[in-house]
Amino acid sequence: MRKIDITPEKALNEALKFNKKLADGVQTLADLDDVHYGVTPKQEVYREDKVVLYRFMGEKKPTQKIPLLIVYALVNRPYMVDLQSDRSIVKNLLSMGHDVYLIDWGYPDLADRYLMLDDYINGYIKHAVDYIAGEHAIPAINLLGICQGGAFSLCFSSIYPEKVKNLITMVTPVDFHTPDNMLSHWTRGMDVDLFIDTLGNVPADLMNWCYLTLKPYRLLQQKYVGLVDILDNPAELENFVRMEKWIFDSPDQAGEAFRQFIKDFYQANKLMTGGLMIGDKEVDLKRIKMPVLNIFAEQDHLVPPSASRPLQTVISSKDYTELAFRGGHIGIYVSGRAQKEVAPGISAWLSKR
Amino acid sequence: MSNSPFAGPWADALTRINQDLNDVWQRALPNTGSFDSPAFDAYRALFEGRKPDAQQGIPARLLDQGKAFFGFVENMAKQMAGKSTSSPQDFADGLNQWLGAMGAQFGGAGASNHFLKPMTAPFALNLDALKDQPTFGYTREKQEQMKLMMADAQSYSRAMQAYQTLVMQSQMDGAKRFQASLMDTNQSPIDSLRGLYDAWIDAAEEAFAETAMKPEFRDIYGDLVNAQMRVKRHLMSVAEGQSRDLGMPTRTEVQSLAKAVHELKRSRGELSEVKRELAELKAAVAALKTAAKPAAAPQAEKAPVQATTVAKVAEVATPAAVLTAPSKSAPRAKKKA
Repeated sequence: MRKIDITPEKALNEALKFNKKLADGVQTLADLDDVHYGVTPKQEVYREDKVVLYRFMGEKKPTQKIPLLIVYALVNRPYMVDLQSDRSIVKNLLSMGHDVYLIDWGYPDLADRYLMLDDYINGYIKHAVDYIAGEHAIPAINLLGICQGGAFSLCFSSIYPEKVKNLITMVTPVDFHTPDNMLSHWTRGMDVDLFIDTLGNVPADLMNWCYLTLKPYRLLQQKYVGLVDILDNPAELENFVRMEKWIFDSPDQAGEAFRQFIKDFYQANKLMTGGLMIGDKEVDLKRIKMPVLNIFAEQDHLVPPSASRPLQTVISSKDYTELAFRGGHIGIYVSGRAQKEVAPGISAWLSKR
Repeated sequence: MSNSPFAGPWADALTRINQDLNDVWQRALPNTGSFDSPAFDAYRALFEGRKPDAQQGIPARLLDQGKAFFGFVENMAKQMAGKSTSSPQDFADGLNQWLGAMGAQFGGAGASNHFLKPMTAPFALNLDALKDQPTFGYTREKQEQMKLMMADAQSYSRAMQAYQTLVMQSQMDGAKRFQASLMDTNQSPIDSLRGLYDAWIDAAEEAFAETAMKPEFRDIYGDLVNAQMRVKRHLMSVAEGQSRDLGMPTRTEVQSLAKAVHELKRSRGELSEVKRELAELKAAVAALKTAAKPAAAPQAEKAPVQATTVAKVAEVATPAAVLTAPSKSAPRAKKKA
């Protein structure tokens, strides 16, 4: 038998300590101020419907000539890339001389029910890219697509390769049918037409519940038992609460865009198999010839590395680099290691191109 | 070893823990009430698949998690009562009893309490007799709708039962894996309750992941979601009927407007694109005219230039900047000052 060294006395002491920490934590929580997020100053430079394009303002002027546009996923809020002062990809990139822009998709409501991927990719992203390129009087900019935003960036770069100088994809699913992709596995039996025709937009709570049930014991229970460990540390507690805010501050999903995303990406796996149409434009990843940096997280349960890495096999770029990050889907933005590896990795890669 | 089912140092420890829990929580949250009676609630809630209460504050949530952890400890201590901590076999027997109790919770008596019962209970009625009845009269169509709804509700109930069964199997598998991990001498030692709890979470998560990736789970999950949507669609249809009766705009009507607005927006975007292209062409033509003026022959001025020719010339001869540099004002763009 495995050695178990727990005596009643030990258990008693541990339980009493745990309980005291828990009870004391109530006061610590009561004293906790509202959490703040999105720390770097930014300026709204372009707006279309509910979509806003921001330009971040660094402490010094950008030294890199080609601006970088971050395209985030629709399913979460984009302030994850600038969550707090010591956990900010944006802040790190600015400090390395990059000129950073970000698309904020806003919170779709019933008026946005019929937004399609065509509107997002050939509309909002294209207009944001055109705006930035116009302002800088350059034909192409650098694109950093994250998660679902990475899939969008791949589509965009395939349709408009002349507008993208360098493409960076981060925790981006490409092959949706790998055997370890639980989320994709679950969507395969769904009648997505019935789903969207019934729900209209997809409620954020429903999406979050689905994500939580991917790891139900860890995310619904163990995580909060673990919270007790940091209850006497206000700074850590604030970080925890801020992360909770981000996790559950999710927008509803525009129905038609969701329908196509599930059908074409999750169910039909068209990024790999071909035949993907965004509006009247075909997505052919072989048209991606610009330099590509593909960053993935080794312990990512939402977008497993096996879903990201096939990118190399479906594009034509001769300048393809992978950056494997030791961590998960969230840690890649906010962990201490991420601050040392991700933004510096992106910056070093860009500076060579 | 004591003959009492609940005696000895583990029982004493548990009593003291429970006393302390009550004292501390009564001080921290005076309105919480007794801690010990619902000690297993949150632990069970996880398996019952209840959604977290959106209105629940963090302190209450913490309390729940505390209960979850202590429920785990409480259950273990009860099974360990009377076992000698100095005898590995006795300890192992105690753990096995505890794990057996966990299995019973999932697959035995606890199953009758299983999750989503409140949701499925209304559908557990025998609706077959009702749905096979013919419909008549003024409300015939509504009766038909109700029959369809009942049939879908029954499908949902069946899908939910299939899903519950699969999840329960995974929970029992988790308990077995946990047991196996405790018997595995190659695994690192456990010297705390938290360590034990974390090992249980690992086993439960591992078992769930394996179940969740099975084709059977995919099919059952898909059936459940689809059945739920069909029931929801009926309920929404009833709500729409009531809205209509009250003269309120219905969801379908609002969606229809949203669709019209979206189509208008797209048309406007396309028009903006055409306008932008036209402006570029005009600029290109103007540039060509300016460039051609000094060398223009008098007879050339007389010949009108065909629109198609102009476009072609513009395409070839327009300065690169005009064609390749993106417009500063993108279609539908609203530049902020």
